[in-house]
Amino acid sequence: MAASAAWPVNWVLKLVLAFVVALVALYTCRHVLFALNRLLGRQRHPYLDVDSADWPSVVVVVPAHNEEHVIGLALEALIDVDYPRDRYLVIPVDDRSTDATWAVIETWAARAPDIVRPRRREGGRPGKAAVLQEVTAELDATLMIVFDADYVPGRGLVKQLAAPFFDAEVGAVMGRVVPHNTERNLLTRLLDLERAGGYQVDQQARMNLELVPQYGGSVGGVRVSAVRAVGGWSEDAYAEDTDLTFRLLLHGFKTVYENRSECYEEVPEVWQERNRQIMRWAKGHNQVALRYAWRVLRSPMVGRLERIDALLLLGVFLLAPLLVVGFACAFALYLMGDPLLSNEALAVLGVVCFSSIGNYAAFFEIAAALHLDNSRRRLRLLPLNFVNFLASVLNVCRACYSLLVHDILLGRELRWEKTARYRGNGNGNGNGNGGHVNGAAGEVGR
Amino acid sequence: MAPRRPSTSRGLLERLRFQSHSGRLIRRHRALRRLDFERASIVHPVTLVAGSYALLLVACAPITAGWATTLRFWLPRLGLPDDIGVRERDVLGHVVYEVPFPLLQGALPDRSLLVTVGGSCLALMLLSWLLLRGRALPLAYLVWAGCVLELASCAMLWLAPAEFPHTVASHVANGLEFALLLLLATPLLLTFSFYVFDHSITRKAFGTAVIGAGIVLVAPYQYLVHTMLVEQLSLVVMPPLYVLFGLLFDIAVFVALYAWVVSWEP
Repeated sequence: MAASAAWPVNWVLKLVLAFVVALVALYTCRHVLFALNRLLGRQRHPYLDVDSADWPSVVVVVPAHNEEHVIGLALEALIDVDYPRDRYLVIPVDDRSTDATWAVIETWAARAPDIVRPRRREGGRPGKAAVLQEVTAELDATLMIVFDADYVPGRGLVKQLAAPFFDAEVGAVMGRVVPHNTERNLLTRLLDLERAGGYQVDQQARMNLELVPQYGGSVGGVRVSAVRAVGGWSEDAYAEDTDLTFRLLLHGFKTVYENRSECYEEVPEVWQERNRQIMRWAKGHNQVALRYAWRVLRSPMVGRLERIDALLLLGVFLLAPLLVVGFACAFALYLMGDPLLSNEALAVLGVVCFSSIGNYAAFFEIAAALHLDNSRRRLRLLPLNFVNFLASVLNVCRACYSLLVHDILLGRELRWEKTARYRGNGNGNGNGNGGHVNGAAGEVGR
Repeated sequence: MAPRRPSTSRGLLERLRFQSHSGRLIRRHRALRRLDFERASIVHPVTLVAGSYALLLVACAPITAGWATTLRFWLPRLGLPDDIGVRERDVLGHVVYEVPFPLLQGALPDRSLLVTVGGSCLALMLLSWLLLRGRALPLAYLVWAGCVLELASCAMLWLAPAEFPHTVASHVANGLEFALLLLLATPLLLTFSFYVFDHSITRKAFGTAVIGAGIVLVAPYQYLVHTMLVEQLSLVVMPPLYVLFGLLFDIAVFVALYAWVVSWEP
């Protein structure tokens, strides 16, 4: 009697579990394909050899809010950049700082007045998107390159980022972000693994396969006319960079990933900051998914493979709540006595896939990245990435709930959040979103 | 039409391209690095997968027999009866493997124990929230996950104790069967994730053996500990053990060993 009453529940749980397993398997295939392509496939670096050219005019924008400890180093490096001086401008934008950021900017502006043109904002909407929108509206340059205030570029980086724009269909370019505070603690080491997988494998494979590399908001550039053509920067977006990536895609512009263009950033050193970061990314990404998924599906400007990749990319942060639902179903089935390991090959395959391969594929991406980076010893931390995974899953779920309840149902206005900085006195706050790419581990791919 | 360059001089030129003035190797920048697709990229995976499965075909029965011996050796020393059952799996009437398990039921908890365990879980959640919010925040998440699973088990055993479908025997049989399946899947998992790298074939073979040996050695002791805990604390601890220290633990062992062998120099 009890068994007959339980069977519809049982089958619903099994169906949901099967759906989650299928989805995880799909992302697994994607991870494996990307890793194999990056390891053994043909690598596309089409703009790497552009060394001398009639370089276009470039403006480097550095949004800054309370960045006194880090912005000096960034400006020093930007002044030293190898680019024709008559076509190069740096615009550090002090966005209502309450510390000595403006004084630091003025000092560097005085040292290179022909290059550095500082701006100060004391009103308007706060945040990076608002800064970029304001600057874009007044720009008289072909390209705009964006750096967060804690990023330290090398001398050749601006040329490397500008080179792809000789191709008329390129709307945005993204470079590789490498953490420089890796040795601080376990968290920074784990995030270093995640970044390596995300950039070295995920982004480069998408570039190789002519899919949809992601513009990450920092260490990247945009064609000013393209940004204007797609409606400028979205000030109401949590992730204005992802939002721009998809609007450019829908308008037929390509985003290019330059793996050789490396720049160094600080990753969060405390878990609370990491949680805020992953929540902001998840909210921003899901917001973009809600806005553009349908349009990507129907747009004639998007190729078939690009469409598949774009939809998988948009769904990355929806995987976490689905995984939790899948685990809950599996646990409920266990409590109901359903033999998860039955004779049926499909069930066995599903369980193994759900429990191991789905998680494991992301590990393979990280392993491939560190193998190529020639820093294999760092791989020994891989099992501890479960910790990062668990934290990410919980916080992505929180972000999904917040987006659904607070933002969509209750109509709360976007609240801008800053990223903490650790250089200097270690307590500063920054304006940047921290250029991000949904790395292998960040994709809760385990 | 230009004459074809002899392969030897092409090889020489290729070598000279990456030779510094001091004769050392100039490494390609990591951004541009990739692995060469050579004959070994096909030969290694095919050889290792075929070899591993040939070995597993022969070793499967001794492995499960070894697990049975381990259980028989330790169960009396833990004060438990050493009666062992066997779960057979067959395909088309042919026995593929036999998994041993102790013939134990495990006791159902009484309500006072459920109240104690449930209260302890709530206290632990609160305590971990207060003490582990800083650098050990993920540890707090782990504690919460375990406590949520434990509270769900308490609720189940409070509401319908007679419906609880698992025994120590089925728990150990399921767990060891999963470990065996993981072992059987290992060569396939490593095909794309380890055998494609430029390690020598002996290292790849040794790495496969290390991962396989890890799973084979850990599994019986893992489930002996489970058996002991369930016998001491009743069936209430079984669900969290199954989820957190069962499948996930096996996968964690696999990933840890995989990470170690892949980190070896080629």
